[in-house]
Amino acid sequence: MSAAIVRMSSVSKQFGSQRVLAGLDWQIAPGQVVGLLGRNGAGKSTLLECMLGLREADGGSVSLFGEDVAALSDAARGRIGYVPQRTDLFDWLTPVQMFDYFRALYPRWNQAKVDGLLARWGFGPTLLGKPIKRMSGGEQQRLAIIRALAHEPELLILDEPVSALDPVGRREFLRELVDQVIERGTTVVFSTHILSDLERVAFDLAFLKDGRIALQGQTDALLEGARRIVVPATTLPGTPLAGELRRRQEGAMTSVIVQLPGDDAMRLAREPGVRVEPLTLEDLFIEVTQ
Amino acid sequence: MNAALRDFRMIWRVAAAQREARGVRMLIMLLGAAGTCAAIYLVSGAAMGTLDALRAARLLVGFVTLALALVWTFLFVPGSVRMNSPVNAWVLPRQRRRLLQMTVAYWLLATAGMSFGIGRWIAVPTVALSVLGLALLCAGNKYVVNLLVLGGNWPWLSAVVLPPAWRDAAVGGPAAIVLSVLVVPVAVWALRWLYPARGDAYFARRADQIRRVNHFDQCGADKQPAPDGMAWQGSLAFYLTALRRDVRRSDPAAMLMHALGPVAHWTSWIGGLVTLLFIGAVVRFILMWSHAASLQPLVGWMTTIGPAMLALTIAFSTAQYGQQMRRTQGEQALLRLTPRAGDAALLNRRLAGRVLRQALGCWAVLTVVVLGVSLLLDAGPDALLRQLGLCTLAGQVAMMGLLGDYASGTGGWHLMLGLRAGALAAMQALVAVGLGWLTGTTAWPWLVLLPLTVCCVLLRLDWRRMLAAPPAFPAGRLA
Repeated sequence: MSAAIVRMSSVSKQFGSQRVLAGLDWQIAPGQVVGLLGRNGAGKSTLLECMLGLREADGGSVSLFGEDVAALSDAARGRIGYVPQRTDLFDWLTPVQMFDYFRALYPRWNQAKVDGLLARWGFGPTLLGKPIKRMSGGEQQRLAIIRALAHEPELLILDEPVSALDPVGRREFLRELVDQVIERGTTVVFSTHILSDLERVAFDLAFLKDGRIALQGQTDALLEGARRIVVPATTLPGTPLAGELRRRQEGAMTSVIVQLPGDDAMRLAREPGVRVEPLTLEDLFIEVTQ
Repeated sequence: MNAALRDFRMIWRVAAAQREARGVRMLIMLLGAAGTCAAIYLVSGAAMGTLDALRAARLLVGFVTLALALVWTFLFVPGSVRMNSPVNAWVLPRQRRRLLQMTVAYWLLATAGMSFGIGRWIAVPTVALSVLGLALLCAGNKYVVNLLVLGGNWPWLSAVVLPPAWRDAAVGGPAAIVLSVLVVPVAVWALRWLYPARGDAYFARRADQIRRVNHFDQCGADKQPAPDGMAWQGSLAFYLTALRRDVRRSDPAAMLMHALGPVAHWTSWIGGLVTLLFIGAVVRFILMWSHAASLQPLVGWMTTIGPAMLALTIAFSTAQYGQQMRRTQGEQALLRLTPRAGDAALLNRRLAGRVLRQALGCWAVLTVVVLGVSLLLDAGPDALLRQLGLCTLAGQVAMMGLLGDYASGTGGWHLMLGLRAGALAAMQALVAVGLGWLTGTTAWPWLVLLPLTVCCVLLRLDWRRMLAAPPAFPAGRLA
């Protein structure tokens, strides 16, 4: 594995008495496409903001491209693209004025790409001359995505980028993401609640729970390896199974979630009255984050 | 307690709970200060025997109803308007009915109490309409402000624009009769506007109305208010011209200021300055008019009070920086990630330099305009010196809320800084009076020199503090 493009070590962050990140360790390699999952209020946005240096962590260290995030060089900042959860896009301007503004702030700016995306995503001359504040949430989100892609970043951070888009808009965005961004080797961190989108584009998944990355792995491997074993409570050994993530009592039965089950789990699966079920991403999300 | 009273209590609690705690504290402090002043006046009047029972009762009732009106208007109206949303107005008719009943009861009580406090029957229709007007203003009606300004200035405006023979009628009994006839239909219309039943028109106006309510209420301060209208469009045209120039030049410091939006940009002052000069020119024109001689007392009052009020504009000229810092955190985050934003120290230095330059420029230009308007009104050297002193003192106050640690949310204006600024201004005024007495001059020349000296010292300290602080963008993240 080449040197990590994002390196977070023992990062903690607290808002008043509420601890949001608790000694979080996370590394992202160049070219990796990671879907960040977590329940509402789990701290995904805070994590991404700390990663970008937009929020100071209370403890630990964060580095991007090998540089301390608190002292990022101009060149490193030019390699980052960010779509925030709330599309604060200078809404007193029109899209054309907004893009002109940001073009002046980036040494590398692909105007042809901007024009192409605007045309493909339905921004005609009328819409381009309209103040952003008068646009719909979906249109504003599209503009935020175009703005983040315009300087062809090497690290793209997307904080719920498609929450305001309709299915057609989401499909167009994902196509763009796969064809123009991921295939170029861009590193992407993608936070969303729309799990079907993640299954399409994210090669890796990371689950945030209790301020830490509770589970991380390749999407296919996680889904193939994750099993729910429903077993009579009397049959189940008291010690945790290999790869056990969670255990829950459901009447006379116990439900055990295992990731990459070991020999003990396989042995258990052969016992009479034991049921082994594969998990969907939604099941996995619920089981890991609950 | 019967059902209606229970409903009233519940509605009051829900509506009042929507006001931010900071706003409630400010209101309580304001009322406490005004109440203390009224109590001191009452007690001293009673002790010296200058206040008879009727006048004392008038003062007491007047103050209590004024306090009720303030609490109702600023605490209850914004929340109640939010409660009567188009959907709630349709599905909760009882809530709307109770809101109307409460408002009518309040309106009658406030009108009666304040009219008794004023002690002139002729004031009743004016008070009744003003109480409604204030409620409409806080409920987000965008037209009522014009009527309130017109009504507030009617005594002198009618004296200026109407022929002498009509003046008495315009402010006397005939005008009161006309207003009395208007009160009931206006009240019916106002109540229906405040709490509409339903309809497409209500749906259509709702977003704009709530934006205005939030603006008055200081709620949703995290989001950029989206002003509109002709004046805003005019101001925006100047801003966009400056933006095009800054984009062409790619000056990082100038680009930083655009993240705060057009409200905090220097171009937002152009319209105001032109308006001030225009008003000065209009008054000058009126002075040359045929019956100007009879207006001399009014003009004398304007030349004294007007520029003093304009000096207050300078004192508040830096308020928008802190507000915009809090409202544009998202834009600041995007800007901070751009390569040309500079590292932490550079960003703060550029921002401090730019904000300071802009604020000092604004102070200087406003001072020149105030003195220019005074010259148009034939102010003498003494009056000009007095106004320069006021402008200098106001500028010193304004600069106190300019530089600071914006990342921790302590930059910009807040209550304690306001109190400190007020105390410092009062102290400078006292020192200036003392120096004037010692040197045999007036206080005014000293009130030009002292604030400038204090301002230099404070700005130097604030500058150092801002440069040592964490990067200002996004503001308030460490609060």
